[in-house]
Amino acid sequence: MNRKEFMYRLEQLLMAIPGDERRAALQYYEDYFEDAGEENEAQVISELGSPEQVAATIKADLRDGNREGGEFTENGYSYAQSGSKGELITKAPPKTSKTLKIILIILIVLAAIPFAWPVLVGCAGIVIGLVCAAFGVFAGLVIGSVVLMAVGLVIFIAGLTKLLAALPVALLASGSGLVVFALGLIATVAAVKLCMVVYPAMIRGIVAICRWPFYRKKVS
Amino acid sequence: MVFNTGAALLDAIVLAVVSQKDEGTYGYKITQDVRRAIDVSESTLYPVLRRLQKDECLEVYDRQFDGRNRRYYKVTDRGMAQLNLYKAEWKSYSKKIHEIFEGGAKN
Repeated sequence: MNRKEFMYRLEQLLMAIPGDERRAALQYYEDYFEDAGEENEAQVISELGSPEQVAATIKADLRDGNREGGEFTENGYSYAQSGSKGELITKAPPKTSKTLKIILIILIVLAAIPFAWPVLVGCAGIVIGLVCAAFGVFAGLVIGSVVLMAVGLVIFIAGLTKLLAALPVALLASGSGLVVFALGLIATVAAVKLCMVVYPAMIRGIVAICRWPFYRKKVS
Repeated sequence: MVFNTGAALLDAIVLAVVSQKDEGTYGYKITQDVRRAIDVSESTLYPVLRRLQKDECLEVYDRQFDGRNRRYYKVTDRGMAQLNLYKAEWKSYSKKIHEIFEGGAKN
């Protein structure tokens, strides 16, 4: 492998890293070959190893560019583990304490209340409205069924009172009254059963929604 | 070499080598100089130089040489401070080791 092949292969291998990183690395090794001189080309290549190795060291360093613990950090060199004296430029990393965080959260919440309050109230209103509507629909079913039953009963009684005046009309009226009454009775039973299923489920759902924020707090 | 060269020591040696030239120096020269002291492979130094550059301990500039651009490395003020810190640390470290090796310096 000569220099050209080496550099070409290296460039290919560095395609995955950012453009400026790649250019800097390639320029460095171009320089390196230039400064080593043509007579040392073979030696440099054998010293560098394969382009794969060179690319691997570059990539490895990019990966753990921000190493932790006793090495270079943004705050300068830290001597955390060697326990040296304080005259060095060791800046303590900015510590965000837990209490500070909590205070900040409270402040944010307080600041947000004027804006969040109407929205919150609106949302609560919508939820309460929907729940009431659902309750109403099912209650309406029950009431409607009961009324149907009552109407049937009234028609039946009215038919009976006409029994002596006009027999066929009276029979028809009381008969249909009974049918309506029976339908109302069935509907009532069905509606009540429905309510017995739906209402507890709804209440459980509401309770679950109300408990959700507290449970979540416990988890996090 | 019997002893390992840690990342910090390598950084310190590189900074020291680069700081010897006021106008800065270039990759090949740095490698040769560092290799006079410790046994590192030629591919080790590029990532070190790059990292020191990112940490603003080194700055680079291109200068015409032999009809081409050659990249020069120069120690920044921050790099100088870092180097002094390394030197002080090394001094106390090597002194302690020396005392133990030679024995009885205190007794």
